[in-house]
Amino acid sequence: MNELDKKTPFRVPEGYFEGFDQKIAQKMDTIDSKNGFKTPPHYFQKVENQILDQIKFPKTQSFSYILWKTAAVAAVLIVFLFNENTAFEKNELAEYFIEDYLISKSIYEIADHSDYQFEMGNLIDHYESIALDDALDMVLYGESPTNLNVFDDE
Amino acid sequence: MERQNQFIKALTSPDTQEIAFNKLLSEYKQRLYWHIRKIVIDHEDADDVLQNTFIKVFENIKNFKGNSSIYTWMYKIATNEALNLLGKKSRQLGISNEEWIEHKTAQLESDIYFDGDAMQLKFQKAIAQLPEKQRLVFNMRYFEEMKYEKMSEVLETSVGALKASYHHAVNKIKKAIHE
Repeated sequence: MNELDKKTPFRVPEGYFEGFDQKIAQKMDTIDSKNGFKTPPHYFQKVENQILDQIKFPKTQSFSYILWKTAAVAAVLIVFLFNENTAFEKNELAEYFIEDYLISKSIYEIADHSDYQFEMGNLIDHYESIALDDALDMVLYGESPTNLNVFDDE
Repeated sequence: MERQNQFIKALTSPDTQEIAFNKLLSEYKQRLYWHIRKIVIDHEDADDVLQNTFIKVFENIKNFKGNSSIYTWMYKIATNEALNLLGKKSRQLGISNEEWIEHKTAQLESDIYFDGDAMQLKFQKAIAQLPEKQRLVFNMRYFEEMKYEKMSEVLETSVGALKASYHHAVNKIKKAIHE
């Protein structure tokens, strides 16, 4: 008795237990056991794709669209900035466009689509302690950090 | 309800619509399919109705007022779509919806997408003989175990009338099975 091999002599096909759960789940999904109705294999995966193929979702803004919009904003800015006769209006409008642009796009999106490399060194060397408003003035008036009075309070 | 409102918002906002709709589809496709299938009997018809249902849901989600749960609303669309298809098919043959269903149920034996035994077949044939409203109520109550209150929202019928319909349906089925 002790010499008998306790290992079961029964065998299963190779890989039988792998994916067994999935097979059972698949079978349960495709047969309604209460009334005997069933679906073709993998029906629910297929129908999902078929439905999605028939639906037109609104397109999210593509990269080229964002570039185009950015270029349009830049063009408008240039027109206003180089027209000296309308100094007051140009500043107001330019500010509006910049603010609108900054509000509508996250900082990451702006950075992604800009040629300028935002390196910490660049920022710290030239723009240390410059507020966002001052940075905007620099864009608007063409001032450089050297002639910008950053110490108004003194 | 707050979560539902957030989900509806996601379904109507262009940025999140696709993700939200995918979620809705994967969550409800099976439940709606089996509901539709019991109404129309045939798999191909159920497939058509399911697809139309989800397309209608997508097209009309902006009009969903949130008075009921989104599932109840979808269930209602699915039921209407299934009944519309039955009406269309039976009109083409110049017969009633009930006759169309009896005709489809008679073909179940040879249907490759029916796996029921002799008793289930007899059961389906008995259900097929019910008037349309009783058949709907019986399927929703017996197979889907839907509460009368919810059923009342979907079928726009009072709870009392639904209970009476179910009672009549059960008696008719018992009688048909014991014949």
